[in-house]
Formats: sequence, C-alpha cells, structure tokens
Amino acid sequence: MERVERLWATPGTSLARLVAQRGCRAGDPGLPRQGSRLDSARTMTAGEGGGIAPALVDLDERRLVAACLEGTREAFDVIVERHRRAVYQLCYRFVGNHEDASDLAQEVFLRAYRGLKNYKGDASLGTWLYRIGVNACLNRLSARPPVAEPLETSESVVDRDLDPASRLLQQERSKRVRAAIARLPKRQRTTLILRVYHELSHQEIAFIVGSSVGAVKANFFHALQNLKRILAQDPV
Amino acid sequence: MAATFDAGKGDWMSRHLSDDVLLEMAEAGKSHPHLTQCSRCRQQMEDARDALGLAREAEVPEPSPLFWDHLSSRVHNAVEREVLEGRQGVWTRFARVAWRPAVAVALGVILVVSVVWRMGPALRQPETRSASARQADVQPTANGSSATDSWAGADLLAPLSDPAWVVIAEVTWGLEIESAAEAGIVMQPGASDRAIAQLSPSERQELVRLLQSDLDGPSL
Repeated sequence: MERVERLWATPGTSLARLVAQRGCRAGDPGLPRQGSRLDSARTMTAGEGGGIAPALVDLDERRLVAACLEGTREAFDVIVERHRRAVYQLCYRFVGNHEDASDLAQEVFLRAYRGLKNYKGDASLGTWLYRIGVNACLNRLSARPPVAEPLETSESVVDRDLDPASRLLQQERSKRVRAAIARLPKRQRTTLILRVYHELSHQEIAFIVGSSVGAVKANFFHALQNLKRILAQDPV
Repeated sequence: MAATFDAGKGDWMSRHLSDDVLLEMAEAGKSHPHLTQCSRCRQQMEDARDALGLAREAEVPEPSPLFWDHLSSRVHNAVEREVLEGRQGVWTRFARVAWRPAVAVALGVILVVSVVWRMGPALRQPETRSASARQADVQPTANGSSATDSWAGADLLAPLSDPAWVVIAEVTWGLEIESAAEAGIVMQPGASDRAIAQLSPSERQELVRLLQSDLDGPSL
C-alpha cells in the first residue's frame, strides 16, 4: 500500500503507468471484465507487493482525467456514469424531448472526450461539462426547433407518490412551465435552467455562459419576471 | 431595472431595491423592511418568488432505469469509434501526405522510362554511329573491310524494322530469280547497272565477296 501511495505521490505518476507496472493494461483481454465496464474499472485495484491502487471509481476528477489522457478509457466511463444524469437533464431542459436529449447527451460526452486535453481544471469537471452541454444545446436549438414530447409519455420522479388525478395535473403544470421557459431568451433561459435545476452558483454560471456574475444575476431576475408574465398569459 | 439600494445614505425606505437584493430575497425567502412600504418592490419580489416556485416544480420526466446504462454504452461505443477513426485518420493523413507524391513520382519515372525505351534507338543511333563512323573511316578491319560495312549492313536491315518490309520479306523468302522471271517479275534493262552504281564502295566490296563465294561454291 505504501508503495502505491508513493507512486501516486510521485509527480508524473498516473494510473496508467501504475497499471503498466503491474504488467497489464486496462482493456486487455487478460484483465477480468465482469458485467459493466465499471466492474472492470473496479477490478483494476491489485498492485504488486500486496498494495491496492485506488479503483477508478474512487479517483477524484483530476486523476480520472489524467487516467483518460494516459489512454485508460474506462476512466472516461466513470466520468460518464458520474455526470450522465445531470447532462441528460440539462439537455432535456433545452430540447424538451427524450430522443433529442439522449442524442445531445451523447454528443456532449463525445465533445468532452475530444476536448479532455484542454481541460485545465480551473472549474470542476461537472461545470466544464455543463459549458459543453449548454453550447451543444444552443447550437441544436439554432439549427432546428425542438419537438416537445407528448404529455402521456412523460413521467416525473415526484409524480409517483401522487394519485392519478394529481399526477396528471402536475404533469400538465410541469409541461406548461417547461413550455414557458422555452419561450425565454436564450441567456435568461440558460441562466434559469442552470440556477434552478442544477443549483449552480452565480460564479459557475458566469463561467459557463462566459459573462460576469452581475450579468448572470440580472439575467436570472429578468428570467423569473418574464416567466411569471408568460405564465400569467397562459395560467397554470 | 430598479434603482440601486444605498443603505449608506439612510434613505433606503424611499429608494427601490436592486435586482440583486430582490433576487436574494426571492431565492432565500427573506424579507426586507423596504417591502412593507414599497408595493412595487414587493410585487417584483413576489413575482420572482412565484415564478421560482413554479419553475422548481417542473421536473424532467425520468427515463427508464435501463436508460442510464444504455446511454453509457452509447457514449462508450461512440468514443471507441472516435478512437478508431482517429487512428484511421492518422493513416489516411499519412497516406495522403506521403504516398500521393510518391505515387506521382513513381508514375513520372515510369512514363519517362517508357518514353526513353521507345525512343531509345532513335536517340542513341545517330550519336553512336557518328562516333563509330569516325573511327571506321580511318581503321580498316582485319579482313580489309572497314567497320562502316557493318553499319551499311545495319542500314540494309533497317527497313526490316518496318512491318511492311517484314511482310514482303516473308512472302518473297526462298523465291528464286527464275521463278520470279516466270512470274513476270523482271528487271528493266540497265536496272542492275544503276543499282550497282548506287552502291557504296563497301557495298560493292561486299557484293564482290558474295559473288566470289558463290562462284567458289559447289556447282549445281
């Protein structure tokens, strides 16, 4: 264990090199693969001398990114697993249907993989992925307007404890609010989505949209005012 | 936009709250003394708070639990394809950059060799002949004839490179002069003398040698 910790503490040491020192590589046929790819990531733990290297799933973002850049693609699977729900939900907030949202989520991760070498760590990996996601979504919206999903195919997490009538009412309300949000100007909409549904700080949103914190606050406040106005025209 | 609240001047009750302050109160659910006096700020804050509450209730439909692994697989496969295409891209770029000029050069070399090969005799002959002829004119060979004879022979054989002459040679091969005479192919009077007069000295010498050897041979 001490040896492994020494390796991690040594500058330039990475998971890929550590695995290479074991005499195997991630993804080699000789490496046990059970079930999902994350299982294989979890098996990459044994080190020589009785030490146990940190499993991929236990690595922090910086080390995961380093492992990806060293060629350990299972590390990127871990990143995807950690952020897939947030990225999908972000995309859904913009496009309003499952199919486009899942396509966009895939695109976001693919863009992230391509640009991983440019990730400097000045923001969290999640915030960086949000920035990629927002750009991808806005580009998609500019290319073609989204098609909202029919109400009957939607089911919310919070719906499940409600009786059918209340559930239907809530679904209808959610749909109207999402439609109202979709009518907001892009910057206001982006700010509202990131702030309300992803609970990002004003600073993080400023990083994502590339503006000042003051501008983000003003956009958010105007977004709420406009949302109220739109919903007043079409009462929930 | 509402006027900025300036608490330092002590007139906060008469000035509208800034967006920042209203937003902070709407998000945190706090209150402010100014709101009890200012209906405009109070209305703005309540609108923002209502809109925030409605927005928070609008959940995203939850996909099937199986969807998440499906999404991971899609991304994994897309990344695999990306890596594969990246490798192929490197090869393709290499091929485009390195092989295209190589192929062009190879084709050029083949073309030049082909042209030289076809035109080679024509290109080589005059130069070689002029060099040889200069020597042949001054250096007779051991049997008394000069090297020019061989060139004269070559000139005599040159028409054989013409396909038409090749056909005629094949047709007339083995044809006796008597048979030609019987076939009506006869020389005009004086044609032999004209032909001999057109021969070069070396050709005449060769003709003499052939006639002599013919006369020395066994008689029929």
